[in-house]
Amino acid sequence: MNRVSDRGIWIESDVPLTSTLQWSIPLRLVQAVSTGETDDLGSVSPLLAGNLETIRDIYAAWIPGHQVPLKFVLSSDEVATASGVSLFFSCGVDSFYSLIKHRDEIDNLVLIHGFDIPLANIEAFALVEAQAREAARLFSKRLIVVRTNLHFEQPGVPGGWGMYCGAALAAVAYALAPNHGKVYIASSYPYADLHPWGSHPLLDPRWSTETVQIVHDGGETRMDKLRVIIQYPEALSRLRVCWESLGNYNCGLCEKCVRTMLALRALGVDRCTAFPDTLTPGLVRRQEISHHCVDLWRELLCPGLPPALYAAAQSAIHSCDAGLPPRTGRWKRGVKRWLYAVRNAGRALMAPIDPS
Amino acid sequence: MNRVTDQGIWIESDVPLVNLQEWSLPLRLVKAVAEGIPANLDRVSPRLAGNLETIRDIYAVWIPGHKIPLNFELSSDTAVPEKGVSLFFSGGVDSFFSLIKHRDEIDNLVLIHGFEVPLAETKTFELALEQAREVARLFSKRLIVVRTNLHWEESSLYKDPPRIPFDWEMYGGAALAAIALALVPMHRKVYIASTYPYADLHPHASHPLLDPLWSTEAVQIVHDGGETRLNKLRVVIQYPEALSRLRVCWENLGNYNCGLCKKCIVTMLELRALGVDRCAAFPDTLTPELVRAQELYNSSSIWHWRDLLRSDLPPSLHAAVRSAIHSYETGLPPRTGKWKRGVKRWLYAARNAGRALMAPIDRF
Repeated sequence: MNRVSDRGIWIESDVPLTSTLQWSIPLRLVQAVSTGETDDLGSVSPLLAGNLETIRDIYAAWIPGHQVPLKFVLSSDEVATASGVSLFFSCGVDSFYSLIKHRDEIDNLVLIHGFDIPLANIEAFALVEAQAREAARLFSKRLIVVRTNLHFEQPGVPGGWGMYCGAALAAVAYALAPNHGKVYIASSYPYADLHPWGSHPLLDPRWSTETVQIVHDGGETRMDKLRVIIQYPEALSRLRVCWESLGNYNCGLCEKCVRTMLALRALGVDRCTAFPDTLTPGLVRRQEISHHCVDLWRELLCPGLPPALYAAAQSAIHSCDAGLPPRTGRWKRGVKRWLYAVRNAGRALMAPIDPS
Repeated sequence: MNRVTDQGIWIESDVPLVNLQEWSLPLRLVKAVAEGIPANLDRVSPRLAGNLETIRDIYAVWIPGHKIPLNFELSSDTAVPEKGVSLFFSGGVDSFFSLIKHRDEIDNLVLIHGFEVPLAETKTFELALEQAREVARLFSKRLIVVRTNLHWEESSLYKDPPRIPFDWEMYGGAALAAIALALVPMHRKVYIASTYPYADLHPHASHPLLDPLWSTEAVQIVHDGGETRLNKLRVVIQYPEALSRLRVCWENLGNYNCGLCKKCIVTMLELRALGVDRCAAFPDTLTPELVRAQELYNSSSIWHWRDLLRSDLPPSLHAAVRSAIHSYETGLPPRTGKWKRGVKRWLYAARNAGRALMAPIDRF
């Protein structure tokens, strides 16, 4: 097991890791922008150095943080670029889509333990690793397993993991430099929904260095991605989208599971072994959708969805838009919705207290 | 006067223009994506060719349009980049900021007649031109004036317009790229001053993700400045010669800035927040009542208004901004202080609550 570590944060893997300290630059930069304390970034590759200012400005606007002065020296090392192309792989919709799209080019799938699955949860990770290994075998790729304490020990960056994840992926990409010259990061959101987020088409490619090119891949909508994936049953049966119940592969009850199951149903897939058989209109209707995800739900409203599910999805979206708790069919919830509606109307009329 | 033209759209200027058809490629591509009809893009420089697919995919999602197949051949002309650096200059906050930021690098300011000022509005344009000429002189830059029917042919000012497939918000960046490519003999690099800050990157034709993708071997296109408007103005107010020539108004009422439209109001508020009480470029119209009565809507840069809440506005203006934003957020017509409006707000609140509770008609 090889390991790189810097200030308590470590990354380890069976494969060779980088010998320079450059791997942790993204983490140190984001930390500096967030705290406002200038950090010496050490030696930085010229390509990355040309982008550091833009990265800092974007993070300063997004976190929001500070436009700290950048302290670094240009690295003059002649670095040989390793051959090989990698893809960060979590078995989710985005990573399966990018794998299929670039299947001829990709050599390695990189699975990370410590990001969405806590390090302590060995059982849940074993489940995912088994499926990822099988996917790697079926697509004839090499699986690289990485363990890191990056997520769960990272000190509070405002905006949390969502703002930090791109920098963390860049750090892992650098640490794995002896294994690849190019790394794909599968996009989290489509081009139509580019809100501030740590992994972003504007941000990810700017982390590229002379040694490792970082590519943010796929601004397609989730429906379009799934439309491709369902043509590959070996991928479909291994989809993992759930961040909630880590004991099961997919819980079938959380918002993300429900949304994905709905999308599959809209595409005409009635049964998918990766998900339990939990999808009912009642379950859909009582989903409390966050404003971040509501656009992903709107995509689901397409003619392929059976009418009962369509109406339920519409109801859940409407509750989110209207700022009411979702319908459950119970009378108590009906009363609660009335109270919320009256409260919202009152707030709209009264606030903000107008001094004039 | 030199002129390039393609399918009824033309660009003209006193300075030399390109003799390749590549200049209109952005327009043809975006139109094709919007209409779903594959266009023949002819000869494309290798650098731009490498980005065409991404541009198409972004536009296909944003418009929304169609992922049409791309027909083109690689151009083998070895373009020799010219020297100069240009900046599109409208006299607004964004372009003044980029001019000041890159004042040592920039050689030309490009002023366009036919974008925000319709071609027929010669009087308004004369005003803008006069000030731009003065700015160019003060900053020792060359002013390039371009006339085009790119934008305003869609308006009713013109009969028999060629159909521009969707609104200007989505088209503006491609139009700027077309002009940058048409002016190739004048520059090797063009700055497009950003419209929105990094924190507010909704789909918009001039976008940090999109603009640089239009670059070719001959001209590099740079989307400049993701700073907030307040931070940009903080720089601009240190240059009185710039401040007194700010032009932000799109209403074209014959005045330089009308002082009554949302864009004028937000700029006057920002200036006040930065401690500038009088600015010669604006009439003296700013009152809390005017601010409070503004009906904001989604596309009217709500982000800039919210940013004002974090600034040092005088309390009465701060409260008025808060009130306008609140009315927008709750879907009520803005306060005017009149009793009729008060009743209307009650009715709207009741209607909104009813709609929230009832719709959508749940069939199961």
